[in-house]
This record gives sequence, structure tokens and C-alpha cells, in this order.
Amino acid sequence: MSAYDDNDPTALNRLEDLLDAYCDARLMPRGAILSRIRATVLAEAAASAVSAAAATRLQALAGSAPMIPRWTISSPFARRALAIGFAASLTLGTSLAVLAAPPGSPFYNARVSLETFVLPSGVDDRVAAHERLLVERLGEAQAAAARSDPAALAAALAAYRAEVEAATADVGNDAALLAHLEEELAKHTVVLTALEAQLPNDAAIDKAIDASSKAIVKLQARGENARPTHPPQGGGPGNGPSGSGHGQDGGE
Amino acid sequence: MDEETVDRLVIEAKGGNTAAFAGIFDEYAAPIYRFIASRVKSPSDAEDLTQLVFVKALEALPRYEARGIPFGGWLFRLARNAIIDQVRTRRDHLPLVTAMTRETEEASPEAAAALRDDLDRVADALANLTDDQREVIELRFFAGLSVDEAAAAMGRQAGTIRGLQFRAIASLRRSLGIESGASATAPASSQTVTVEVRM
Repeated sequence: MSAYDDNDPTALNRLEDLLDAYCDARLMPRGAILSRIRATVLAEAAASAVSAAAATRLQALAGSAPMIPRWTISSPFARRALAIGFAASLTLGTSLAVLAAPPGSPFYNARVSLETFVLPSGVDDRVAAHERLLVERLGEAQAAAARSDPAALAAALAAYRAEVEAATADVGNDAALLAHLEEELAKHTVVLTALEAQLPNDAAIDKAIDASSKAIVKLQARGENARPTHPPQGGGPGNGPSGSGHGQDGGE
Repeated sequence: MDEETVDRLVIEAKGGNTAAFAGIFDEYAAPIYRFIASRVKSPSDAEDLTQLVFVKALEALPRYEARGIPFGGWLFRLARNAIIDQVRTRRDHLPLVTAMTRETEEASPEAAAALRDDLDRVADALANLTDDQREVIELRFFAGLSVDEAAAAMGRQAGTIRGLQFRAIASLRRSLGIESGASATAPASSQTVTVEVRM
């Protein structure tokens, strides 16, 4: 047997003891070294886990979001055409919205102003247009009352009153026109009175009746001094009844 | 901790489970520290490098795939590379002989002196080994790795590790004068800790 028999368990144990002692004395971590390292490393691990979870969630959100197609228009001409088309569409859309605006909508006043702005310039046609608009406003008021929409009712009747004033101002001194408008307003008063019976506490209806009544008085007063410029053709301006009524009678 | 448990912890840690990573740390921190401490100059270096190894492990864990390589071997390879990088950077690596001295404080002055002599002789004997032989001793005895893990850490075959270990032990016995039939009396340390060596 050699002095250093490789399979001698006693010698191997002696060596192992020496290595253990060396390891223990000079290599083992002392005190709180491992605790310090552990705290730092696990804090890093926790931060990493949070970041990974956040990234996963973001990825999931990105995956579930609808794909937005990205396209570009390289031609300047096409870009200009698209811009013009877009502007035209916007204008058309807005115009349609204004023209169809019901009372109470944000565009209603714009619509009323627009309708007033485009009235014909000739007196007969202008008064006829006023009368048509008055009927329209009254119809809107009736519809609003029917659906119990006080805001729309107030808006329609405010527009009606404005239209009464405009019509009274535009009618001039033609006896036939004055008589016809007076007759129309009298009919409106009947309708408004019926509305008031339905909605007795509605101030907008009272104001409309008041405006219409005062206009009738004005028209009657003006009719007394009216001059029969021309006989109404086919029942006065527009399609209304004969204008040979009160004004002319009053003037005689 | 058996390999199956380690593998389960690794899978859970890869999925972001911090507690699983804590389990891995608790299993390997002390062996990693001992391995690093055997190769660097000071305890503070060993502490810094141990921390660095686990942070690197945390970063690299998502890319870890077993493929026959034990996790311990993979982790010690990280430690080995960290040590090599540190030595390259600082160029102040001292041989194991002067690495650290921390003899027991409970022994009598005579016993402490005897222990210091024993440990110095061990340090000298280790210093006489080749680099590969010394690394095998560090991995197998100080870190407690199995042959396969040591082979994975060093990037060698298991047979090569066994051969290096055989020659290292023979060299150490000669340097320390441990002949056949030598007394198995433990050295004078009162705090000897037996490091489990997985054969």
C-alpha cells in the first residue's frame, strides 16, 4: 500500500475535515451578509415581477385593441381634394342639420334666421312666405305641446312671435295684404287659445296670443289708412283666402 | 432540496413568482457565497459578487432551459463568469492563501494558533493545485455541487471533473502530509461545518 492510498477512507475523512474547517473559518458568510443580499435581490425580483406583469397586461390590451389601419396619401393633389371633400361634407352635413333642426335643438334659431334671411324681396311673395312660416311655427308649437316638450314649445312660439313682428313690418300698406295677414293671425289666435286651454300655465302661449292680438290691432289700424294698390289675385298672397275683407271694409 | 423541487421553483420563478425565487436564493446563496469567497480578496467583494450573481440569475432566468444542465451548474457558471469579470476588471485578485482569515473566537490562544497553522497549510496546499483542480475542490467541497453540476459550471465533462478531483485530492494529501492510516481527528476549530459533497 502506498503512503497515499487513494481509497483510504480514513485519510479522505481527514482531508475532508481539514477542508471543512477551512471552509468554515474562512469562507462562510458571517453575520447578516446573506440577509442583506437576500433583501436586495428579492426587492429586485419583486420589481421585475411587477414590470413583467405590467408589460403582459399592456401586451394583452394592445392585442385586444382593434387594429387601426394607417394609410397615407402621398399625392399633394389627393390630399387637397380630400381636404376639400371633407370640408364640403362638413358644410353639407351642418346645413342639413340646420335645415332639419326642430324647435329646442341647438340649430333651431339658426334655421329660423336662415329662413328669414332667404325670404323673397317682393312684398307679396315676402308676406306670403311670412304667412307660410307663421303656419309652420304654429304647427311646431302644436307638435311640441302634443309631446309635452315645453322647451320646444317655447322655442317655436318665440320664433312665431318674431315672425309676427317681421310679417307686420314687411306687409306695408297694401289693404289686401293687410287684410289677409290679419285674417291669418286671427285664425292663429284661435289655435293658440285652444293650446292655452290645454296648457293654461304656459307663459309662452300667452305671449304668443298677446303678440298676435296686438299685431291684429296694428294691422286693423294700418288697414284703415290702407290703399288698395292691387286686388288680390286668386285669394290674396299665397294660397290664403280672399283678401277683400276687413281692411277694405274698414277703409270705406 | 431535491432536483425536482429545484426544477419546480425554477419554473415558478420564471413565471414571476418572487417566493419561488426566494426559495432558490435560500438554497444556493450560501454555497455561491463560499465559492466566491474562496476566489476573491475580501468578504465585501464576496458579498457584492454574490448579490450580482443572483441579480444576473434573475435577469437570465427567463432564458434558462434545463436541457440536461442542472440548475445549480447553470447558477455556478454565472458565479464563475462574474468572478472572472471582476478579476479582469480589478486585477487585484489574491490567491486563496490570503483570501480571508476568520478563525474561531471561542478557541484558546493556543488552539487558535494551531487552527491558524492548519488552515494556512490548507491554503498553501490549495494554492499548489492547478487552477482547474482548485476550482473542482471549490465547487465540490466548498460549494457542495454534484459532479454533474460542477461539470456544468466549468463547462467540462463529468469524467473530466472526476479526474481533476482525484488528482486534486492526491495533491492535497501530499501537501498536507495525510498518509494512509492517518488520524481522522478534526482540526482545532470548534465551529466546523460539514459541507455536504454530492458524489
